[in-house]
Amino acid sequence: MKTMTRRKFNTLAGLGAASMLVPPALMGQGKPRVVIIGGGAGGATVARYLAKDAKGAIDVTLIENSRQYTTCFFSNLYVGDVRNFESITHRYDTLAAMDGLTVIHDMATQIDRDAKTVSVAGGASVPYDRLVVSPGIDMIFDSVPGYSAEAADIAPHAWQGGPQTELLKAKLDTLENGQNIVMVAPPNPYRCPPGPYERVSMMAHMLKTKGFTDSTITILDTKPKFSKQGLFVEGWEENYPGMIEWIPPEIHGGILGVDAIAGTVETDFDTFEGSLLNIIPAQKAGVIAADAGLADDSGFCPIVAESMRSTMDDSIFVIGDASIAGAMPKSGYSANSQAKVAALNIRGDLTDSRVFKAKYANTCWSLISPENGVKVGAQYEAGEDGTIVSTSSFVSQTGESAELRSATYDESVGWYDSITADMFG
Amino acid sequence: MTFIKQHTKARIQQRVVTRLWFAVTICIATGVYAGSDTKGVKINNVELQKTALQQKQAASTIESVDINEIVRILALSDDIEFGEYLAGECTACHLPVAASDSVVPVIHGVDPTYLVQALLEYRAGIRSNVSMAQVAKGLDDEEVAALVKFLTTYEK
Repeated sequence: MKTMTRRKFNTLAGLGAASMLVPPALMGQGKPRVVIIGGGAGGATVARYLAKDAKGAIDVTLIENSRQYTTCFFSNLYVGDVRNFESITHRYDTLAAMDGLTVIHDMATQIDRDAKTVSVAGGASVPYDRLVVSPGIDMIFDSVPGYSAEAADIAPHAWQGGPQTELLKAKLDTLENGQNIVMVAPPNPYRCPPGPYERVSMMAHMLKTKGFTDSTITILDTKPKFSKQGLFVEGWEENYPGMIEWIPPEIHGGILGVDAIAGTVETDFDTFEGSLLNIIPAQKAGVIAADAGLADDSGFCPIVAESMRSTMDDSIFVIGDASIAGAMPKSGYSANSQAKVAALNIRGDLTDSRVFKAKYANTCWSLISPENGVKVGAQYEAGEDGTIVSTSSFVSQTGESAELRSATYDESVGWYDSITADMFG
Repeated sequence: MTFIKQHTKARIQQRVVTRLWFAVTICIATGVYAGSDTKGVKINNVELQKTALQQKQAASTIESVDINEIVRILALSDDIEFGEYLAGECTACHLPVAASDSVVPVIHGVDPTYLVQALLEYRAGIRSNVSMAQVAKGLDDEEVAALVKFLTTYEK
């Protein structure tokens, strides 16, 4: 056996390093493989765009435990009887039929970043060359003392689309006149900044429609102000006078605890009672991301602004609510936008396709009362400070005509049809 | 650098006017047709107001954007691959094929001069929609050309 010379060792080491830069397909390992954890707004979009644009050059596997996806966006419209549940629920058939895309309905349990595999509950281990982590959010239940996953079966957060949404709606529908609603609104950062206030608007609409003039909605907020506040307050005063009370921390002095069974929320100022408690706690990235070491102390995952690549691992991209996306709010629209940038960069990594400068966008529409929609939106790009920054923005104004508000709402309906087709096919 | 002859410019201009006439007529026809409730869509005053708004917008475009500007911009890029990436911003709201009575129009497979004109009108505030104004201002001329080239060549 020849001895290993230093020159030979350096050559071998260099070849080894160089092989990292060669697309796997060229190394004779077959097609490059992308695995996506999470089939929601972000994950479904990445899956679809990779399969569509790679034209068979990449093997894409989407891991999603549920066989259907109920969007959190527009779920408030279901709460307000403006949409039905089926109309906000989508299936994976069209995605699964795409060439190069496999959908696995199982729970992703663990990421092995060294071996580059994802384990699923059913026992299989799925290898990847590139991984997209799009798990959405998980609740920090004890951010509201006394709250828990069990308590959420009685006092739903309904901040993940699906059974929680139906539970909230069912409880709302069984309220009687004189029974009250108490909401605890979450601290920043959280999914869908205007969401809690659109929900309150839709719940107020339901109470008003039923003639429940003795029922009130109290919002105990963990923040001193909220998204589109002027617009909501104007709308509440016009449409639901006397029905809604918003109490910020400076008034209530802090939320001390919730008793889901008793139906009470205790604050430093007073104890509030409701027949329906909607407790929306603080949030963090889906646990699989944090377990894999992809999150920082904020509980969310830092990314490279120009690509959505994880700063913790070059082979992994984190998109959607789980990511720290700078000025972009956590929303389905943002997740879809980020997914396209991620897909573009993944294709650039794995094939010889072109990568363009990242462009992101978001718009959040909120329905205050039927045909009365408002919106806030912006465009974004990678800023010089390394975060995603806003380059322009717009927001609806108070005092707008009913015609404009109606057009804004109609626009959101068109958006919903289009973006869900963009995600699920 | 493309040299556009005078008679070609006139042909493009005539096509734009014809398309606008068509668009206005369709809007009126849709307004009448919708009133007959054949699609089972709930009709109220708001629907008719929106149709009137669309007509007003369509009518106001006739003397708006300079045709030379449209021609100049279209010549700036043929990069359909880049245009496809840019179109990712559009597909959040614009379904490639109209599947419902959405107020958001179809822009895939549409006449390129009309698309450029519409974007320029959003930039100039001749058409009013804050979302589209932001989109139009966020695209430079070369991006407009690339995007429009992709959209017009799109086949379902």
